[in-house]
Amino acid sequence: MAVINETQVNRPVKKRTATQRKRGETLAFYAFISPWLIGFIFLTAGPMVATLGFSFTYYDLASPPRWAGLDNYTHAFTDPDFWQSLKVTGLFVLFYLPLSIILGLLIAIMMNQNIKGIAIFRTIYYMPVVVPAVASAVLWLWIFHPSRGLLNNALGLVGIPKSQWPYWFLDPNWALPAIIIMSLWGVGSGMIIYLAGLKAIPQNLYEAASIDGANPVQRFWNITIPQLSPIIFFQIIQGLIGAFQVFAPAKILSPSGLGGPNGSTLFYVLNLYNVGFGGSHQMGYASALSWILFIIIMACTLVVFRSSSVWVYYETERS
Amino acid sequence: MSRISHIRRLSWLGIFSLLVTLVLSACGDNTAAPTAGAALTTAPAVATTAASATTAASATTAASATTAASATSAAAATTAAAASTAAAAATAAGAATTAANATTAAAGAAATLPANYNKMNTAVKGAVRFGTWEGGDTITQINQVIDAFKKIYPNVDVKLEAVPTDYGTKLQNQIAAGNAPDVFQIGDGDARLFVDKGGAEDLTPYITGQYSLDQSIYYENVLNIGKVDNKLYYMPKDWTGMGVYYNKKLFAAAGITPPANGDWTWDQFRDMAKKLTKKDQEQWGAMYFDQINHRDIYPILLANGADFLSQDGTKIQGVLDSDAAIQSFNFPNQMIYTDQSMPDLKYIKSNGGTDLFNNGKVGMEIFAYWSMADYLGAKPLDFDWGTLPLPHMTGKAPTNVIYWAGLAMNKKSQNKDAAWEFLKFLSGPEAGRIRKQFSIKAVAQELVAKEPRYAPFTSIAAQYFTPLPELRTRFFNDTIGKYLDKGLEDAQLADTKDFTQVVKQAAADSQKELDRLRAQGS
Repeated sequence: MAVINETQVNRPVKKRTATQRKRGETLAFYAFISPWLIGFIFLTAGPMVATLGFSFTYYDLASPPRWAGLDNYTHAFTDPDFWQSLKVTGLFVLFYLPLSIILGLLIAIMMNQNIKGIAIFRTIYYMPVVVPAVASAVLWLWIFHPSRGLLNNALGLVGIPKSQWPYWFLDPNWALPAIIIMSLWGVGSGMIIYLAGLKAIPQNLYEAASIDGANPVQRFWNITIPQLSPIIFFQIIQGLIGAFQVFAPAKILSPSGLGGPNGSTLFYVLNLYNVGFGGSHQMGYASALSWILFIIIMACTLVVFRSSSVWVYYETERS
Repeated sequence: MSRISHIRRLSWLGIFSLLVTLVLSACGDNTAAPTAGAALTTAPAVATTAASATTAASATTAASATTAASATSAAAATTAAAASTAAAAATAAGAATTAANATTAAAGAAATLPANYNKMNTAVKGAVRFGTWEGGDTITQINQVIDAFKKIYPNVDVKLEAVPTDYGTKLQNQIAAGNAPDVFQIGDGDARLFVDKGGAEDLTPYITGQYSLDQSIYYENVLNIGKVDNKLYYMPKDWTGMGVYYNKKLFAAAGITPPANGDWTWDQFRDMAKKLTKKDQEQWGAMYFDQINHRDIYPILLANGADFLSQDGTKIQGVLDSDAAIQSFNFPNQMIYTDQSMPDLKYIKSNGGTDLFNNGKVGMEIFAYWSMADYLGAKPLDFDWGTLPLPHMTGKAPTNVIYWAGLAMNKKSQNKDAAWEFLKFLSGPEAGRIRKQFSIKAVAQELVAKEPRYAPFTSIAAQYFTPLPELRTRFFNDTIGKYLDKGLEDAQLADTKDFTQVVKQAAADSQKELDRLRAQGS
């Protein structure tokens, strides 16, 4: 009796938990991600769709948008500022991205040594990431100061005469390199991720390679790099998206925040900001610019993704 | 990242404000109305009679008090001024002080506030929202003004809405959504936009209406800045003209006496700058505050009979690139490169920037009155200094240019009568005294009597203001403000000795952009 009773009671309960749990888990899943989901729908997806709509209108905030067709898009291609901003951003991506990947990796390898007090060094290298963009930009403004800056005075110590010191942010030829140098200060964020990757590489691989007679360079190229390639891939994607959207340094460091001198720091997003938030608020054109940027970033990301099958190594894909 | 968050914030704000207005309109106008109604119904008769009695009483007393106070203080001021002129003349040593006093005296006979200059409507009630970008210390003064207002208008609840960042963008969103503050402040760059877009109410019927304000209490040229097509849209809030700060120590060392009565020409200015320059000691005759922008040159431009754009705001090419205009833009270049009496921009930026004057390295600095507060208080100079009116062109009337912020009434305000009373008060004498603003002649004279060095930027400059070219088209900042200032900045950083090409290019680019934006219609 007792056995029968138990099965009679238990069976329906068990059945219910099977379906109920699934539904419950689904609900819990959505409940847990709802803060992000709501944020995404209302704060990201919604406005994105809205800007797509605005990009086909003349819209100055103060009066309702009026239909413009493709005018904003065609205007972009005849706008010298658009091309200049594309050039500046392209140059920045071209120099900054590889440099930040290589530097980040090199620092991570250094920080992976078993030396006493290494945690202090790691903290020091990661510190710039925690400093707010505006604060670090102001700091670098002083480092690059033409006559009193740390950098130029260091150049003076090396023997470069004062008359040849670069004016950095005041010189069209040096402003962009200065921003690239400044941005590289923040490679700590990449370093920390590489470091995690380095720690995850099984030591037995290195041991086996050593027994086979591989020298440190060979071990680096044949073990470290392939093992880290998924992380490098991730860093390239992240870096690419970030580098295309640089804004704060140019806004703060160019002489009047307009991307000068001579348009040398007119980053894409700074131009977009000037169009949308300066003057008479050409929000329609600014929206079109933001969608063009979206397409450019998407295309570049796709290219990197496509190339990944050639050089990115995944443990699970093997065999 | 910043781009996305900006666009995101913006669109989100739009959606949110839309939602808020929807909800509010669904609830029946606003939340304040029912409570006010409830309060009235509980004790109708007593409350209203009591209120009207007190308001009437307080209004009249307050009015008489202020007029009396101003009259006496103005009288005191003039006597003080007269006394000091006499004293200075007697000593004959302080040539500069006599000049300053003489020019203040020249600025007009002592102005007093006419009786009943403000026909107040103290029966107004309800809420008045005031939008401002002020923050920090200036907010304290605004709050003092609001407290003073509430003493006279106890039934009006003023709500201060301070938006120190992205003020213009937010205001434009609010105008579009119909929930902008009843009274809001506007900078000279945006003033035209809010007239064109129907954000600002035409104040002409109010200022001449039943509850009028005597316009003669203001400097006429200052009040006129707020006019578009002969209609008054903005009351003056803050403003300054341009003048010259000079280092008395360097003047004495070079054996130069400041111009008598503050009357001097640009040629004299240039000569004096040469005499004040000591290249070997890195001492300069003169400088503009920071880099030279379009507005710095405007007084010279006007004196040469040139301008930025046509009066109707449609033509830039053919105006900005005229020979007279280009000659004006090249004036400081000649001082920088031919005379070498002014530091170039690279030198300014890499040698202490705008502190060059404060460090005693520059004889004369052309700027607005914004340094006064520092020099008189927070950052006093360790040398004797004075101020002078802007020079004028030989044989021509003086010119000047205003930097200005105005006060507007929201065209869609639900409480326009109260908003008008607040607007009058905010730009009136009592607020002027609290906030140390020079818009009203009588108040300006009191303030200048206390510190004569304010005169060149205020009471003297006010005689020579002309309407701002920025108010001729709402696309000024998209065109001249962008291409000319960018061109001037690049040219200065590249040590360009002749601005002809820069100005011509800026005129061409500006015209092209103006045509494009105008073609997009309103």
